[in-house]
Amino acid sequence: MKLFYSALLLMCMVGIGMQPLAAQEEPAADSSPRVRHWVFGLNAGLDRNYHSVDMVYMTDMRFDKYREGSVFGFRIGYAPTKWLSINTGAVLIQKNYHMDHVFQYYNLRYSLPTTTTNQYVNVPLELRLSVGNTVKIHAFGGVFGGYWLSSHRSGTTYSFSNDRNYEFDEDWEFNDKRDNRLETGFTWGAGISGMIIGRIEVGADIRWYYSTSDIQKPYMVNLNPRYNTAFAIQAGVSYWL
Amino acid sequence: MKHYNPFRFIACVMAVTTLFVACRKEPLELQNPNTRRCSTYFEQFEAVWEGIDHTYVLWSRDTVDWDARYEKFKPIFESFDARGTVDVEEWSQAWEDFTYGLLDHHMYIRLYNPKSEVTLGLKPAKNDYEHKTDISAQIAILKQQPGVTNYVEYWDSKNPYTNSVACLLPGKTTGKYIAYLRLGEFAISTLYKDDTLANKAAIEAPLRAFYGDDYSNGISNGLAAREDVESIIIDLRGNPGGNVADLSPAIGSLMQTGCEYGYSRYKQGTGRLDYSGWMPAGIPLPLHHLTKAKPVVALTDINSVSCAELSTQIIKTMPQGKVIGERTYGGTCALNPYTDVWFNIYYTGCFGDQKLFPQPGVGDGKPTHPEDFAYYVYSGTFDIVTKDYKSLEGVGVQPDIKVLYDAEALAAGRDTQLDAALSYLRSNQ
Repeated sequence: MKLFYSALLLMCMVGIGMQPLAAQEEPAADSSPRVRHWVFGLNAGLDRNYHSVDMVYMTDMRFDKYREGSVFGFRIGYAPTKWLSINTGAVLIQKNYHMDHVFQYYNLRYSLPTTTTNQYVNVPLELRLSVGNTVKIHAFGGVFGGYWLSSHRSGTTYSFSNDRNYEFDEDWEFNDKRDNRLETGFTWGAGISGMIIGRIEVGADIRWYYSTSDIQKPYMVNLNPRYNTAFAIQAGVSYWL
Repeated sequence: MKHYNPFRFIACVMAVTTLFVACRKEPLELQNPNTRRCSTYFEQFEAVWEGIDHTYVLWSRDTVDWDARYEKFKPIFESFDARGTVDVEEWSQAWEDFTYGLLDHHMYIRLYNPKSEVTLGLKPAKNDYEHKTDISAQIAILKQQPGVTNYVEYWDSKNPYTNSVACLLPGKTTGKYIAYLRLGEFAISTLYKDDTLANKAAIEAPLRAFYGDDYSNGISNGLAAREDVESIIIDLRGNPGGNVADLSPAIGSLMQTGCEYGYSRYKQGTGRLDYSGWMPAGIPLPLHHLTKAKPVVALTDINSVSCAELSTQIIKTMPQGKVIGERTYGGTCALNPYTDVWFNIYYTGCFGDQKLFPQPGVGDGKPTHPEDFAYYVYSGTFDIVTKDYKSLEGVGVQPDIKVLYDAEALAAGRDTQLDAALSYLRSNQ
């Protein structure tokens, strides 16, 4: 949590400290502004994933509402006008969750936590509206497709046969019948950016990746859906071509 | 510059959010099968179908198309309600067909039909090979073995949990012996702690003889520990299983180190394939154990079940272990029959309320809620696999030396499986 808020603070400071230069306009030799259309950028940040699952009567298996992860990616944008651009790219994003199996067995209280770390690659396609001249404010929205790259579990469980707790820390093998590794959804958010040196722009944004695809395939009729919603805060640097 | 209306913006955001949320499926309203109450034929059918649907631990390898079964049998059970009453035979047959072939060899389903006041018991799993084990005949033949000594027996056919037989048989070398133990069930630690038994000394005498006085902690000063005992037979034929905690004193005491015989896992969600990770399943070395390895034979048959099968698997993996007889039953899940204990923790395994059934000997013997269509499903909580992740469910442990049950030979006073075990241990192995 400390890391999360520290990153947020850092990104605010980056935003505040940006130089008051035009985003994609620079003086040309004849002193009329020259519009640059293409931008390439790198982003990094943190995210919190909300894993939506209804455990119905299995009330002892409690999912934490949020779990932190990291985000890293690049973006390619094309801006036909000063205030509108279309962006895509690829983002490596963790969509993690945590479950604690808490129960009372005779007079003892047990807590068996499992942290699941999921690595996804998301490819957004979004429209970005920008306002401002020196410092720009952006609002963007679109869709994304994704792929579930890997899953890792760590935690504690109770081995009844050995009558003791068992610690595990292992990669989770995907099950072709159960796991839906393809992901689709909506993404939206807002950000701030500004030019610092020449064609280099820095910025920060907050965004949501709202998945509309169940992480499970429809392999049974009575299947309770499970969805991820990731909220990311990221900062980045871009270069206007 | 154009001014933006913030209220319009908020309205847009809300509209878009509503659109996004609508793209997700709503969660299902599933009922807890352990507490559900039913008042019709269809509700009883649906409760059992749904309970097995999301708590059954063997969905990863069971080949029954459970959704198709629902579609097929739903109208049948609905028609029973429409008719009001239904012939018991027709009702029983519908249940038999509906659950037929589920893999869990522990599974036993009890159903109460209040309209006919009939209780039905079902075992959905089927084995293509079966017979009854004539334990009395086998014990009688054991007693007649040449050179048998130190024979101690307690066998009450009405209460197998207390039963065991121990003795010494002549070994390969003159003056050396084979220590023999037959366990009625795996109830060693339960028996040790049970101070309510009037004839406890007689009941535990064979266990004390084989393992020693502290028999719930393994082999101490019993026959198995004697210097002149060169090998051991653990007779598990007809053994229906029992307490997994007994594996350590009963079988772990034959070894010099603890052992891991495989992995286990349980369900962690309502999805059929929502599982915990695999965790090692093993037995710790008990307080008392053999300090020197001795050849061990497990005698098995198709009626060696559950804990008896895990014991067989462990002995099979011992360097000097051998399994002789038949394949075991193939019911290798672990479970706890008390639904208020494990189901409420793992949400897997046995579910239903047995107290809703007629209980002979309790009050007037009638159900406490006579209108309820009660159900109880006895099923595995933990799926167990071998060290190479192979499931023995429905397959059983295969013997190293196969000797089929021979009823005719038994009737004629010859136990061919015991003979095979003795000749193996008396040979050069």
